[in-house]
Amino acid sequence: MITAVGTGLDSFTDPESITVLYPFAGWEGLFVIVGVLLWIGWHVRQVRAENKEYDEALELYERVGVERAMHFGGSTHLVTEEDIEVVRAEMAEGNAGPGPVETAPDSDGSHRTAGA
Amino acid sequence: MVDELGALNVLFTEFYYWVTVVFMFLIHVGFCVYEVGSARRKNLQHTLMKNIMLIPLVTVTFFFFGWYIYFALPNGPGITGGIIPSAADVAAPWSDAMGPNMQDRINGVFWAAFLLFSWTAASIVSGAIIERVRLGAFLMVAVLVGSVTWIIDAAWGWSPNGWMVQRMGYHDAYASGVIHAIAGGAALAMVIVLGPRIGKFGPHGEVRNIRPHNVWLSCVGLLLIYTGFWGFYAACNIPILDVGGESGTFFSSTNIYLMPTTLSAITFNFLMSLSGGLLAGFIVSKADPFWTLSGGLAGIIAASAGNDLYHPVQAMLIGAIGAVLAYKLHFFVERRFRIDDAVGAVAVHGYAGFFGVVIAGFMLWGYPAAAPVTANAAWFGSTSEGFPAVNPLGNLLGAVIMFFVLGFLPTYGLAKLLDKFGLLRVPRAVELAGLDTHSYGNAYPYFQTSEAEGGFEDVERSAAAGISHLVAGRLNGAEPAGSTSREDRRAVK
Repeated sequence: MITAVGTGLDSFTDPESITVLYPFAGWEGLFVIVGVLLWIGWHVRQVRAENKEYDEALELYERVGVERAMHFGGSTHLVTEEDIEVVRAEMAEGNAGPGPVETAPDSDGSHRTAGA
Repeated sequence: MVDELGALNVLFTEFYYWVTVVFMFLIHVGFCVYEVGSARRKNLQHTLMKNIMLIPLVTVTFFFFGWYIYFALPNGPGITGGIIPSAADVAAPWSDAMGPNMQDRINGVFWAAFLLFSWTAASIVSGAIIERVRLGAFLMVAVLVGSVTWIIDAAWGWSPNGWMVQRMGYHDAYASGVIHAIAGGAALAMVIVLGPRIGKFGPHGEVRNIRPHNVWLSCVGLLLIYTGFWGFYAACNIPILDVGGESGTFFSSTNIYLMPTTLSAITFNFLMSLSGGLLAGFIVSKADPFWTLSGGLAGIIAASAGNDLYHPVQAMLIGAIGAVLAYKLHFFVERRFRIDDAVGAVAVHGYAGFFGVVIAGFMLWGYPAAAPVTANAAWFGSTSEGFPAVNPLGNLLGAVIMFFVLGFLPTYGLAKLLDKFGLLRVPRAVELAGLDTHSYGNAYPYFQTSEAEGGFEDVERSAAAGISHLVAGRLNGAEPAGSTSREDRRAVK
């Protein structure tokens, strides 16, 4: 019979004498250090991601104008480069006010109407 | 556990707390629903994720240090004993009791019950600041409130050995102050530093109503919060304890201070205080659904400090007063100080909670607060048996500590620090376009509903016109109130 390598318990026959059930008991301090580092790292990553997201959002709004961005729901999911070209064309013609803009067809062939 | 009756007691207690945790999860479901319903549709997903992500962050930090704080700081430190009692060792994150352990069946479920209170405290702050706070900033505040400040106040005033209980006779059985006043104070600090949402106040200070995108959803959220509140009440009790003392064995439920009460008592009073709040909220708000249901919540919160001992009619009347106070104070503060609390969280939790603690000091004057650690050491009077006595001064000071010292001040400090680096509030242009920007997109892509948002769109379009291609620090030539993001500061330069 080959005895298996163990990370903790190898018997439940005497439950009264059992204390911890988890593997690698004795390393709890290391687990906590790893957990705390991950927690702090998460906050740092979130702040960085948010800064990047808002920089990108503002860059977009600078191109199309904040009012236009509101008009499109403020989202790159709606404000495509094609939409922006339509807006630019409108603005160049002096017709920058709100109005429906027919966009390029979606993959399913339908047209989204940006603005209303 | 070889004795069957003893084992039954332990396993029942373990199961009891486990069930309360499951019930209390509904509080958080309710907060999510309520806040999403209250947000405008361009901010829905940001609002939702703000409330969702506090769950893991408060949970892991409550594991790392929150639970330890509860056992480490009941003495103050140094007011009723040493710096850190050795009993805290069991709650240290590296303790072998902080994990699956055959010799401990209570630590995990008790930890979880307190953790759910932590989520609630953080979530209360979340509602007040929707539609303009950065997610990253809020999550830091959530950790502060959920895993540090509220649990310090629990160690001080929500533990039989807490120095506020032992010295001041502080009594707050179902957390009017311990959860609600502290979270209300923190929310107030946040809304002051953040400033109002764009357009909330007109050029002459007139208040504009930014309506919820779905008031029905907000009301369902409040109903879910009520449901979870049942579990919260049960979780504040110890289910079976011998309270007989010198007169012999007598088993009963107890409150958190190990003083006797019954599940039946708190069931009477929960429902009667809810009813008092609903009745008053309905009248004072002229049947507004949002504020009627908020009145019900304020009613429970106002009576919670003494709902282990009140007569049901007393609970009803206190609940009614709490609801009226919350409603009147919310609109007074909004009008007078131009403070934009998007869901009335400061009023419903903070003001009603503060009132609840204060009134409990009068109503329960002379009741034993907890068994004394040192006989006759209470500052404001003891019972004939030497127990610290509940009293108006102790609870008034306690309410101030909860709302202002532990609620308002630490959060104000962190909010100011985040504001200093421009990390508290989203850029103005993003706020106008909607916080669901980029990451999420339209929450209802297949609905061609009006974007008019209750007639508010014109105000926002006017503000947007004032932001000339990212000179977002100025709106129509006027400096915006409140915090300014790093991006807006850069744009102004």
